[in-house]
Amino acid sequence: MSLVSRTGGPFSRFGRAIDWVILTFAFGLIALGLVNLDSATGANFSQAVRSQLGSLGLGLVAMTAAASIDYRVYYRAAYPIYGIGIGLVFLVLLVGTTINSATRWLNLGLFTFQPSELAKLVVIIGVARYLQDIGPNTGKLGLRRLVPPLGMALLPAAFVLRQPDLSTAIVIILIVGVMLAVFEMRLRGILGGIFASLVAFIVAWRFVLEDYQKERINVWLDPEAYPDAGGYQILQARTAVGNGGILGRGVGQGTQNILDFVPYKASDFSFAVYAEEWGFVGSLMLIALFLVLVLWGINLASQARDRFSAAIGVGIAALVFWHAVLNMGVVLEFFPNTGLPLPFFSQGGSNVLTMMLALGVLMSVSRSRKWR
Amino acid sequence: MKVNRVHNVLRRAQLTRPMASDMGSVRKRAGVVGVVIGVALVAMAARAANIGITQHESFAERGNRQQLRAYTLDASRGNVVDRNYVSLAVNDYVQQLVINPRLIHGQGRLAEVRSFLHSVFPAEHHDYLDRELDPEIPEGVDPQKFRKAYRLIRVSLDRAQVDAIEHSGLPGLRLERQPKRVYPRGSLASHVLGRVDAQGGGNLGIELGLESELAGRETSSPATFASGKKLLVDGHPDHAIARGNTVVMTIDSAIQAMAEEEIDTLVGNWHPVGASIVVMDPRNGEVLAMANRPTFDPNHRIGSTHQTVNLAVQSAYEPGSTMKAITVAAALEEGTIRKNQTFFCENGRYDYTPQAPIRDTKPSEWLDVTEVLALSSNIGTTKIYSTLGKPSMHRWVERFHFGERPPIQLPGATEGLLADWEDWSDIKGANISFGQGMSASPLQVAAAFGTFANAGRYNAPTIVSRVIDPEGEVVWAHDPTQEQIIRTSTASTVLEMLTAVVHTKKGTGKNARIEGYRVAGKTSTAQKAAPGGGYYKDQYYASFVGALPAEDPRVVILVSVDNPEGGHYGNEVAAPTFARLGERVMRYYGVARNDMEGVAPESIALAGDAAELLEGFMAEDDVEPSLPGAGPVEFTTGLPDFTGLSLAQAYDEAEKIGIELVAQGTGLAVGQDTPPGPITRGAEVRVYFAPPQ
Repeated sequence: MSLVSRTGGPFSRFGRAIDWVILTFAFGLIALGLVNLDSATGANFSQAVRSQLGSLGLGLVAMTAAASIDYRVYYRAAYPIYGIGIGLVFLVLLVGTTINSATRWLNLGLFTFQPSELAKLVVIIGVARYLQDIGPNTGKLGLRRLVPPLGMALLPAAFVLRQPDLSTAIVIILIVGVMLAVFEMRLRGILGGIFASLVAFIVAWRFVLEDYQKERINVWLDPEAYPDAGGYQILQARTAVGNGGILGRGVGQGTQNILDFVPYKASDFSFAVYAEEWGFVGSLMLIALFLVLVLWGINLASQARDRFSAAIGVGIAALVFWHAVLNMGVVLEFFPNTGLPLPFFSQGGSNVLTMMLALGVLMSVSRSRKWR
Repeated sequence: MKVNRVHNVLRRAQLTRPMASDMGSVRKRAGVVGVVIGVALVAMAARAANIGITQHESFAERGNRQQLRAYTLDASRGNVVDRNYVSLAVNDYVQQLVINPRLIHGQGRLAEVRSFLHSVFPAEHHDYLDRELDPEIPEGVDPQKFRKAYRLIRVSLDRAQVDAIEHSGLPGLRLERQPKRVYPRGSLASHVLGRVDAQGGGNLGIELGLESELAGRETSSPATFASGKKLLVDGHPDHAIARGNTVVMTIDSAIQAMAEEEIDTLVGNWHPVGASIVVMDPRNGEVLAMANRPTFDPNHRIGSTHQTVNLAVQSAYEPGSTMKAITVAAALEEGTIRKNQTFFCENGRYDYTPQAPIRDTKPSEWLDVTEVLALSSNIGTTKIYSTLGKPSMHRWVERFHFGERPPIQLPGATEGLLADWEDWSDIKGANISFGQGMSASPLQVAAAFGTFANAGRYNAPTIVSRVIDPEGEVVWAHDPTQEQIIRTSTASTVLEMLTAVVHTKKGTGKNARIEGYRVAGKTSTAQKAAPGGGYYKDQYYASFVGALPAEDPRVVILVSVDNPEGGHYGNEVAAPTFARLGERVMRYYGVARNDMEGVAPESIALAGDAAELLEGFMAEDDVEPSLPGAGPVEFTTGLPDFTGLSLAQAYDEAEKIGIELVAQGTGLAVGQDTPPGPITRGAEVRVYFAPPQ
């Protein structure tokens, strides 16, 4: 009781569990995302919006629960959590549901779930535990210390790659990469990592990448030359952004949206719909929301009392950052089409659930910092 | 205790806190990562600004270009309707058979398909189908390459045929919806309407004449397109802009149908080479009906182009005695004759020039102007013409718009033939005064005749009443010319004289009488001109043109018959059709009957003709120039005009035709209660007698 009454006020108990910065900006994103999804699916409170609302409700419960749990429980249960998460991803390879020749889903009867989304979070928790346990690097070269966390990332990445889902595999590695950059690597190591990535890319291009994946990269480099292979879609999405101008066409008024020129406008290209209807001002607002959320995660990490909570903070910030950047960056010509969801904007329950769960964990960590 | 256990768990799980220096370095790097992330997101924003602001114009234009595109509206042809907006030509879709001979041969099903098609189509189409199914392969050509994969079978299908083809299950047979011009009234007014060709362009008749009005214009209209080229319904362009105008004809379908029936009856009776009926409203020049034989159904393939000629407009005949009325009108108008002046008619032979005597079929001595017309005396007319002379005659013929293409909207209207007066020989001038040596279309004659029925005002004939655009605006409306070419008094004088043609005992057009109505008309029987000069000995062109009711004419009806079999006089061949049609039109218009006029037609005294009175209406003659072997024609049915007969003669006459005569009074017959014309045997006719003055 004494722990609770210190701050007082009507929300004292709940208030202590909640990080209001995270909650405010997350709800800002959720609200914009819902409005945009409705606009992208015919502005008639379609089935897509209703099901997204359902996922958000479930996510809210998950976030509250995750936020209520003491962060040390995550530490204690980190490896079992990691194990279960990776197990689910492995299970997909065995009994997954195949849609459009990609096996990514587990059929849970009432709904299907995408374990690769959850995998992003469990890898963060697992690696965070490892980084806590191993302690600060005192030696000169710590390359051997990098092997276990890289392995923890590469194992689910390999499973996900088999689905196939290259983007998610890369995102898992990128998240862990950011975590390691903060905790383990010197500048040399980071440069080495970038060099290794280049080598990996060249090797992958020659031996690993499927034709459709190579094509995405080609399309990215020159969309006009590959109109049939997705270049057309990217151009249409970009046209929507350009059509939005400064102030946008208004919600439900984007012609590229309502005339169906924007492809996958409820999922991959939801940002294009948003940018057309809200304009540059809206895009700026959206980027700011993501920026604050991500920097808040970094801030929490720098205020953390231990390596575990700091790593969680960095990891979840990286999770949000990479999704935002890799989704919007496609429409904005920075990356080839990744197919990664834009958090809270793209239709998809697994991502919503994972993101809210992650924010819940971040809130739990946020609470820990106040104990210093 | 439970709480304690949890606390124990957490205590045991207490995380080791790192050294301050390590956390410091983590914080430093986290800061660096934060900056990198910030830079990355700012780069995103910068790029968003670049696309959304700097390149906004070009992207917005790009978006518009694909969303707002030209939508091609297929041209759709305007409708043709009659004066009461009854549809005469509309657009519809029909199912047509498409065959794929290459596929049929490739699958070796030719025999099967052929026998199926033969069972579905009537025998007349079998050759055509066989040609399409199995075309002759030229030497040295790969048969499968030569055979087409798409052949449209141009035969209209009925529902049973469509069903049969749909359920045949045979390869290479397909039904295709084709736009088609449909003429719902079949062959009604077919020459006027015309037809469209395979490409949908006007080919004949008004379809060709007003092609520019009727043809829709394939039009591009900006329209909002959704992705996948789906046209959005709310942005659908107005189809009206691609539609042609609606043409409102002056034709009255009801009168046209009567004309078609009557012309069929006429053709059945006389088997002519061709026949035309023109019904015109003299008050405004509007053609109410125009029927021709032979005819065609524009919905079907045409057997021969011969069928499609609009004889009433496109063919020129020598108009014959109809011109006498114009000669008389001209002389009256010029004041070279008086209306009660008499002319000596030379007892039937007048050596106008030594080489070319002019003859009358019925020799006469002195005739007044009315009698010249009533008896259709060529000699009398020639004498009237002589008072005018060539230049004046020519001027008057031209004034009645002969030798000039009538401004009707139908293609191929002939201007007829009218030589310059300086080229007229002496005899030619005389001939022209009674309608030989020049030519005109039935339409020209009807329009000229209309002048007498419209108080001396000529109205150029029109077949189109108005043209209406798809928005309902009238873009063109007929405006009658109302050209005063003779004085009103002259017109009524001539019209009155022309009633004598029909309503007097010696008149040459008595078969045109209509019970209850007075008719002013003129018969004509012309020898047909042979190509290369001269005349056919045994080919005639018989016609009757008349206006009724004579007191205030509502219609001018012209019936012309080209080369009838078994008769050739205008009164014999054309006038009965005029009478039947005229009566129906009067009834249709609800024109009040004027029975007294019919009972006691204005009588004109024909001096010294007592012996001929007996011939009554049975002897008809109106032939020019005199025709060899032209004798009276037997006319066995119908009630004669008893006027002028004695009691005994009247009874004889009544017995001859098998009717009951009830005499009233004594002396010579002055009237009868049933006007002359067709009558059933055994009917009772009351005849009034009065003592001669």
